[in-house]
Amino acid sequence: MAAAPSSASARPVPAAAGIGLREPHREAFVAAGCPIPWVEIHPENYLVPGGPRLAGILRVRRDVAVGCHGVGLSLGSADGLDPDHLMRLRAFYDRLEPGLISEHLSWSVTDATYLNDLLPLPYTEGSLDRVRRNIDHAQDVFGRRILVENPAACIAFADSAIPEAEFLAELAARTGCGLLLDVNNLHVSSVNLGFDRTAWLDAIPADAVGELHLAGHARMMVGGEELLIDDHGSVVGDAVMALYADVLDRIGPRPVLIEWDNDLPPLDLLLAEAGRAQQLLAGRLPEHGQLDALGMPEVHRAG
Amino acid sequence: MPADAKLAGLQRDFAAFLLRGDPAVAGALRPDLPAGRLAVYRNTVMGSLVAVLGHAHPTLHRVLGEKRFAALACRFAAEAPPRLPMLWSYGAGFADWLAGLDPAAGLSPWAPDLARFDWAMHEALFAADAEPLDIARLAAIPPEQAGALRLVPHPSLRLVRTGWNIHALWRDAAAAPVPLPEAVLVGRSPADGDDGTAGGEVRCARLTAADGALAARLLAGATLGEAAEDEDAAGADLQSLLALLLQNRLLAGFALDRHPSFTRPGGIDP
Repeated sequence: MAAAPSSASARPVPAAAGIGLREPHREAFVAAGCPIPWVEIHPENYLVPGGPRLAGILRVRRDVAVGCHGVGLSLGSADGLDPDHLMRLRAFYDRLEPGLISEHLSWSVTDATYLNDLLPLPYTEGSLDRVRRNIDHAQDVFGRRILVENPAACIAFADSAIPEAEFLAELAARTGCGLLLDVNNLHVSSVNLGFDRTAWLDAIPADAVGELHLAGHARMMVGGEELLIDDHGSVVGDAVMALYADVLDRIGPRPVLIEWDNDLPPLDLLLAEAGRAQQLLAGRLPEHGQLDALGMPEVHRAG
Repeated sequence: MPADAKLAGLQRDFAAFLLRGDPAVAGALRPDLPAGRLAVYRNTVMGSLVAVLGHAHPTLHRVLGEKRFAALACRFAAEAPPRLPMLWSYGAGFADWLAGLDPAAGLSPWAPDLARFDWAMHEALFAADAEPLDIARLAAIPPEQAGALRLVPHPSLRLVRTGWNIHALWRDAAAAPVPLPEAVLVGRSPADGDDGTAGGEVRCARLTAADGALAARLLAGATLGEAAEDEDAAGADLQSLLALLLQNRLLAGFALDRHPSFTRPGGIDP
């Protein structure tokens, strides 16, 4: 299916650094004058009947662009998507008018049970077709394009026959969806599973990438070996920053987001992290007025 | 086997591992990777669900202590995992689940009521918004008709009736559980204006057992007159209860029972 453009009144997410806005920071963020061009939220946290949380995020939306990063749709579910959850999300998106909508290449729902994690899929022809149908379904209901994020993993399946980046590229080609390239997830998975990041990036269609994610990860000893755990609980590490610079050189400026979910720092530290990401981005932005000439305006309306 | 059915089987096996430690899914992993890595996913799922339950039940968590709370929350999560991806709504059944545990297992008898209270506070935060009742409209009711009033509670209003001192346990970290018949009224007072605090603040108030019985009848839709006649509400203070509800703007409206002769045939009010 053709990807629908974002709605005319949605505030576009700019090719600039934003932060994942979490509830403990929301009031301080508004009190500080919403000091960053865009934020990303998990829509499931706002699918509530009413109250201060919902009122608060609609207040934030008045001043800054908002991206919605779903954690519950479960694009990889073998049973298809939950139509009730799709309609809940659609009603929320109609009200919030987010500049971007993204989901994950993973699954969380089986037998109507929600497992609170982004679980890995076997990369087979069968699951490629299942995820393709699920993305088509979501894009049909939302009436717009979504971005799909590469997962962080420490396991893989014996059945997996398609390299992850090719799996993502194929989904983008078949559904018109965009990609959310999570640089931290790429680093974590490549170390844990032992694959080549350069080959992975070579297989990703740069035009499809509508957003980048950055986050910190932890090192943990599991059964006598060290694994990288995508815990979003610290500053962005040097290796991930270097990979981010490489990604920018390959695909050009994109909206980039700092995710921090555990052991939340003071808001100022989170904004400083976004500042570091912005610095690398700004160094690669064309001079003022050159964006159109470079064919970049779709980046500003990505999604 | 059709591809979807094969994937569904894998996902069921994975879920059985995450919730119950059933090892079947390990057979599907890439053989060069240690199967022990699966533990990372189980720890994430169970750990985050325990954290979600703790966040929604802060008083029970504090009074039981981390270790006892986590053990109970883990069992609950394995037996009754979330059905919806909105985790703020996870834990509605925790209090009833605690109440259904075998008494011989040694669970403190006050724990289910404390969980009910915590859940009422949690749920009130997310309840629908509603315009508070305009007191002038209520004041315009002639006194002789007051007994025929039915109150429409704000959607966030909750009442927890208990045989334990749960209000003191909530307010005072040094309080110890003691038997005490009481009730706690919980609700979200709508906020003024539309700044960052829009949507209101959850508050609670302790009621005597008699006031609790009266409040229970009123919230269930009884008229003021019917509620006051309730045996359990003997000695209750209707005026104070109404003042509490009005001052905290926890009423959304009222209905006035008409005399039967005013009702049109078919019972449809004009």
